[in-house]
Amino acid sequence: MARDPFAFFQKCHERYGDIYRVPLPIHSLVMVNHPELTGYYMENTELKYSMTAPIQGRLAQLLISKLGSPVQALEGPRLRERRRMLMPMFGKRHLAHVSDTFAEEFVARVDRWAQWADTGQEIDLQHVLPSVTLPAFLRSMFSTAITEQEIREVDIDIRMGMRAIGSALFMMRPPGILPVPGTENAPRSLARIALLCRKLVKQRRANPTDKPDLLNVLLDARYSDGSPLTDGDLIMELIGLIGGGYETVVASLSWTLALLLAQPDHLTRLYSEIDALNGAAPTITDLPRLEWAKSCFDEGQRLQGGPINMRYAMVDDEIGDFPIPKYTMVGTSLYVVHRDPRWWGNDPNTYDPMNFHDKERVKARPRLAFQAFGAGPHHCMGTGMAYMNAQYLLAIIFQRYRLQLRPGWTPQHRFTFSTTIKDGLLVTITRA
Amino acid sequence: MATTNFSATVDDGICMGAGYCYGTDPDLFAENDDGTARFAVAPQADSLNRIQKASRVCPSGAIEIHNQEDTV
Repeated sequence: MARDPFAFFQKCHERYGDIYRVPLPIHSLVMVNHPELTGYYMENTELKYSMTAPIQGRLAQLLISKLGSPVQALEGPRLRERRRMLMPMFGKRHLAHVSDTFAEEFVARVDRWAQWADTGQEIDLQHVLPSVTLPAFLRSMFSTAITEQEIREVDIDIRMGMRAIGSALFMMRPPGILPVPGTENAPRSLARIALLCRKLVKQRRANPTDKPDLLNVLLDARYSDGSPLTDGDLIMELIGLIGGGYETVVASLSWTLALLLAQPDHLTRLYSEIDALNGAAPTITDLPRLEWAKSCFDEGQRLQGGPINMRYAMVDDEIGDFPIPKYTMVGTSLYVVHRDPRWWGNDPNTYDPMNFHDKERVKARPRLAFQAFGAGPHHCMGTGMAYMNAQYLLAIIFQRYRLQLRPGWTPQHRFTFSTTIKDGLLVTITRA
Repeated sequence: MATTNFSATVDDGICMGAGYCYGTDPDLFAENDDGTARFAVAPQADSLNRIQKASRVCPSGAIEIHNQEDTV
């Protein structure tokens, strides 16, 4: 399972169907692959299922109360309240405020690709894209210049955190946990990124602005009793937002490009849609005109499909007629659900953006046949921001360049907490 | 039984445009040009259950139901 979770769950689904048990040493795992059954536990709002059960114990909660907690680590009423505080920064109204910041930074960074254009040099875009998305995200959060050194370190630190979580799920090698001088390790990363966030918060408090950036939304956020986030919660929330904000788009956009670049017809349609912007950087009002770009992105996310999305049963329960004892891990494999011929036709491995562009097809399948952004109380809050980033990046990249894959190459899945492309996305670049 | 003594709104300021509501119940919700949601028709008493269902799964928490204390 750990060696190739994608193929493992696909084979199990073919053999055992929509719901089956995987015997594991400590907690039993039940895999659920029908969207209606998935909705039952993912969208439960009565805490019958928890994403964060292992850290809801007394000791872990004591530690979290000292350190602070990002929204991802909360459950129940505390989760709902924190989401209510954070949601204003992800709604369309706020996106309009930060949209130009994203577009400006994307343009500045993608312009740098000109150094590789028409040279024949192969570039790993999966490796390059973080240097586009991370600075844009940091600028939209903090409205301040972050040094190139700090950007590189944040990238290392966030990946270290993902590795720590991935290893806790037995799906990645653990990071170094001893703070050995001169090495990159988990304690060093946590301390470094926390200190950077603390510095930026301190600077903002010393020099308040009325800029509608993400930091100001967080500083202005209030619980229902009128109190602000504690400093610990604020720092952890910032780290959580950075982690969720840029790397996920890198992985899903890499998948989109890896599949789209092999489809000349779909690409031509995208070029034509982007041409309608007449070479100008996209703005928030252009998003409805970039619908094909959005469909291309969704189709990329569909075939990207992560290996497993998991919850813990907090009570004895049943899903369908299947018994779920308390503390069972219940999981859905997006890789499997996103390839199920019942929802995606007889050729589900073919990249076809019409799966999303054709609204009749969308209506004809269950809502949770596509779960790229999760479902229920932990549904990704940054969905609108992710679409905006992907649509902007596709427009900005193809306004400038044409990208070529190695002939005959097809992407392979790799689990690195997010689902990335094994050995990267190698392309050559020519000017458009 | 539901009474008409409630109101429901979609807060387009925090709606992220996930499309769950208008994707699932297009008779009740509609999509704005920017992907955010709105009511396609004025909320009525007999649609309260559908609104509650949409509100529960809305990942933005943008569908709000008011004055429900008068609903029995």
